[in-house]
Amino acid sequence: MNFTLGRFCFFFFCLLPVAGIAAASAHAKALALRERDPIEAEALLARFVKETGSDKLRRAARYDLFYLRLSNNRLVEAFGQGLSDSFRRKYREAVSMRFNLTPKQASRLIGRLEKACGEKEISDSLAAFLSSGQYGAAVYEFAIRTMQNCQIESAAEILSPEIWAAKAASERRLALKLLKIRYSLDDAALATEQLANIATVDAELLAATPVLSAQHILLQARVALAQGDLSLADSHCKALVGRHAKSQREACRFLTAFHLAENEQFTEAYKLLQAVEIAPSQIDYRLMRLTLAVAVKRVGVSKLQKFTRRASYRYSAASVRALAEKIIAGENKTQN
Amino acid sequence: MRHAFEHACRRCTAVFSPALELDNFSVLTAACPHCGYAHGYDNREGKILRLLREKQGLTESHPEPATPVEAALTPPPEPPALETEPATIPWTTTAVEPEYQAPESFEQNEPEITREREPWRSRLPGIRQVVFVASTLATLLVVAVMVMQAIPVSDEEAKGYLAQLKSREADVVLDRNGHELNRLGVSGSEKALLTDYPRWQIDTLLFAEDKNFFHHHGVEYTAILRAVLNNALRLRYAQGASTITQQLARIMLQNRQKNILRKLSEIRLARALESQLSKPKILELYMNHVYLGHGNYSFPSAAKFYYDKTPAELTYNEFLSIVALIPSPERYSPLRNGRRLAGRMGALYERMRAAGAKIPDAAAYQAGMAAVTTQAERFSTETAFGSKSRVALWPAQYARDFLTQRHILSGENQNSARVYTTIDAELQARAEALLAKHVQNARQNFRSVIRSADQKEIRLKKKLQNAVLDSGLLLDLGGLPVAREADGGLQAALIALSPRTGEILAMVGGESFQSKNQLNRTVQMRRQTGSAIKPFIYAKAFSQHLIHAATLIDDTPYVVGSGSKTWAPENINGGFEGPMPARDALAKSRNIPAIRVGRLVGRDGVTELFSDFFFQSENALSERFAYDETVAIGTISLSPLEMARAFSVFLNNGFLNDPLLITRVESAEKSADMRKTHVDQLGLTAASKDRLLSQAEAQLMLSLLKSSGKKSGAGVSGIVGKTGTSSESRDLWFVGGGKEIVVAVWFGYDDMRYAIPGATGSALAAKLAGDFLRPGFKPADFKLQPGMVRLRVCPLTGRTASESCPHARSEVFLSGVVPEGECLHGISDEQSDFMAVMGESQFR
Repeated sequence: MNFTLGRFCFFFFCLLPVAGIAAASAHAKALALRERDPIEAEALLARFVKETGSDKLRRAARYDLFYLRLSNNRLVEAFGQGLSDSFRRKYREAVSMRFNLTPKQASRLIGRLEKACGEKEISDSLAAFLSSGQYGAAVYEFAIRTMQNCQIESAAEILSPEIWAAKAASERRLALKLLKIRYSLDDAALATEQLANIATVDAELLAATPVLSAQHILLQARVALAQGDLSLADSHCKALVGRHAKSQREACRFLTAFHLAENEQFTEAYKLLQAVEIAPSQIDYRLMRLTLAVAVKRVGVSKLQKFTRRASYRYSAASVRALAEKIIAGENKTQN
Repeated sequence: MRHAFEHACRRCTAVFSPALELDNFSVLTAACPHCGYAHGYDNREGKILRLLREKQGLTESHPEPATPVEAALTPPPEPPALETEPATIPWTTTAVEPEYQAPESFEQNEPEITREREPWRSRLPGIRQVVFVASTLATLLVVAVMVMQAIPVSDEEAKGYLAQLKSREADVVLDRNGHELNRLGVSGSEKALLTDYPRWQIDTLLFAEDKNFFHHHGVEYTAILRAVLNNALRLRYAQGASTITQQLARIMLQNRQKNILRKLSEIRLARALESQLSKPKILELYMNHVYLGHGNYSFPSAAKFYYDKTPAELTYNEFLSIVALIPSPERYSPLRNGRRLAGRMGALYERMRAAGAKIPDAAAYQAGMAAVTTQAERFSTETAFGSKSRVALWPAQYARDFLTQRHILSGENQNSARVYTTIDAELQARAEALLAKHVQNARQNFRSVIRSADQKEIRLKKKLQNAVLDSGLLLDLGGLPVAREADGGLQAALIALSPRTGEILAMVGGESFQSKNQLNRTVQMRRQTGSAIKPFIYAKAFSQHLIHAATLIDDTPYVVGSGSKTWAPENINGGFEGPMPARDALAKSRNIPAIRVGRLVGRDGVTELFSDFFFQSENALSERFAYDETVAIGTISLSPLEMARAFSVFLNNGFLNDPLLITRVESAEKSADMRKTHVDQLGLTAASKDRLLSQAEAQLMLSLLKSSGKKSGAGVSGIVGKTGTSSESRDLWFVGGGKEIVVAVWFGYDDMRYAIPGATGSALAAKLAGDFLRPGFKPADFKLQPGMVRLRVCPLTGRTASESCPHARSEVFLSGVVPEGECLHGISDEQSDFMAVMGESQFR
């Protein structure tokens, strides 16, 4: 008994400082990754906050996590922290600045979203607030995604169907229409119809606003891919030209590659992505290219396996993760 | 030896007798026979035995000797009558022997001096050593005296000394424009004839200073031999043997050093004086020139200063108090230590009584003492220079001390010298008035919080006392925190200097130049600087090109170490504001960004910074500086002068100057230019000639310090500066200024245990600095220098601002140390770019 207790004490006191050093180094590692791999840094910090036993280190990591999210415009992810006393003011400022709202408006938006998350349903007050203020699509998307994060499945219903009824064309209304289509892509036929409607009704506006036009084209490509019409999707993607369509052009390329990969046309898919520049924060794109590289045997499966062990892996889109896991399983089967 | 006494058990309350070996001076233990509870008894200093004896009425076989104070208060048993009529002998200045005869009783029945003495055996180094030392010294003395006797002072030489004595005037301190600031001592001591003194006064003086005055020829060789032996036995200078003639010779020679050469010079001159002057004339000269403290160089002056009377009007006690000052006027000064003076007076009184002198009886003496004490209390606000001088006492005192220490002037302040200083009389007067006013206001405004803090300390102390008493341990509670008086104690200091030349324009070392506390806090006190140190940390980071003014620095929790050694500093308001540009971090005085910048600069960089700006010598650096990350938030202690000097680098294009107070000293014998010869006159190591910051770096810092000056609370447009508050508001600082002046202001308690709860440098120090600087303030010129660029930056991203960034502001940078990249604000139509910007994955 004494021997066991002695051993326990020995290991306890030996490992205590080691554990402290390890904790501090995990924190330091996360901080070191902030520039190179911000999403991984975020995931590591989130994990550290959850696991560390030191109150002081936890507090430090919480601050680091919050400001990392803010600096990367991940306001939706920062929402939970933004409600705490320590960060509420800063979060309100960030929301206000990001969406060009007055501090009062930002405060109301956050307050109503907080209420919705608490009640697990879209509150009337939020809907009323959004509809009364002539807020832009970015505010709506922020609200929808925040509510989705709070497990409110019907979050997209906050976009009132009345936007289709209005006769006067406006940039804001067009953006909202596109946003609504984006959140109802499961019904490809309806989406096709609505996109066609926009092309007719808002033709002039689309011509005048290249960014919205690019969104419109991208949605058309997505619908085409959903319907399996690769050539139509390709033609839409090719229509995405100019400085304002850069991100949509990239998205179109990856969506096409994903569609090809689902059809096991890995070589073609990989070719599409080979020369693309990927920002460190685009973890879906990174995972997809790595997956395809493994599928075409350019890279060993171990690299992909290692990628799946990263803290930020769980932040990747479910569909891309499924593809990666399928490839790993296939590779493992081949090796066996 | 075992002693038993009764004691109630702490646990069961039953009374028992613990038997203790009280000869054993340690913590003793005894268990309660009823419950077994172990009690501890602190007998480390024999306290229990002493207490027991006192309780049992046992007296010590050898009672402790009475202290001088007690002796002074002890009434004498026999009250002889006092002869009060003036002396009737015709005092002349010729060499005719006076008819005055010293009372023979002075030489009879002289009692032992009632000073505390160590047991003589313990002081004795050994009989052989004593004999050897004594015989050697005696031989030397005899030889020296023989030589001196052989070479007497000529008549011309003695006359010269006498002429000098008559023409001697007080030293004058002048400001930078040649206006008189202060007089070190009085300009002309009031004189009196010997006949103006009642006879008993002369008797008292002679009894105290020279009993055989009328019988010796200027020197008492036996007394000298006795003093030499006594000093040899004690192995230090303990006793003198100067006659009044020798003392007069010393005054003439103006040499206060205690050594054999001085003694020999005195002897020569004393003998010359005795041959040329009559005894009464010598005595009269002595009484008209002896230094009696606080700038008084004669008995009439001292009588007027201390009691506002003429000598003839003085009572016995009053006159005795002045006589008692002679050996050490500052040490026995009633302004500084009335009890010590009373002790010496008591000893003199006892000796006179024992010698049978005609002095007042005990009751009269006691009554007289009360009057002396009351008089002494009125001096609490008097100054070392008397009541006449009020302005610029701090710089005058500093100049006096420095010149005396360097033997440029004698300490008696009668060198007829003119001391030219850099002080601006107008600024000095303004600084003194404002500082006194602001200290009063601070006491008023913070009275309740200070009292509340005091009450907490008092409660804590009482709790501890009770706990100690309950424990049964007779522990000493010394060292526990004690409450201060809520009203007093709060102090401040202000020093202003010219950034271009380092000349000190105003120096106020405290609220008032009180006799009991003349600590010059501007130069003699070092306190933690708090945030006032941050500009130097940032300056180093800028000069090493580690950051620029727009660099985003995290104001988020900072944790170092693990477990119990974790260090997690906080900001003053306890919160964190996230990443912010360096300019804002400095202006808002955030601690964490400063620590991060300090870490970036590193140990070597920070050490170099302190070496360059504050400690120019290796010794000072190693003694006063120890690197750790806390130095970036001001844990190193510095004086206001050091802060002002270092800050002037920013306003002096990167050059560090040597502070200067005394520019020239002129006296009858010589004139000395102090500018070049005494660059260390303020006690700081001379500055290196190397530039500490380039012109561009200095200008960049000025730009940043304008932001912090604006937020400092000084309320002066265009001021550059920084506030500082050390931990728990113990020290409150402001350091800053404009084109022609730099000022450092400190508020706090001399006792570092005390704080001003809730106060900040901004609330107190900056306000005083602002009021001081406001009249005629000229802001520092900021000019974009070669090697600098101005860019529009986005403070949210730390990058250059895009054309349509709504947050853009202008910022200055060193060329080549500019932000990378451009912010994205306003570049795309955010309304429409939501899907790309929000980071929503294209996948589900």
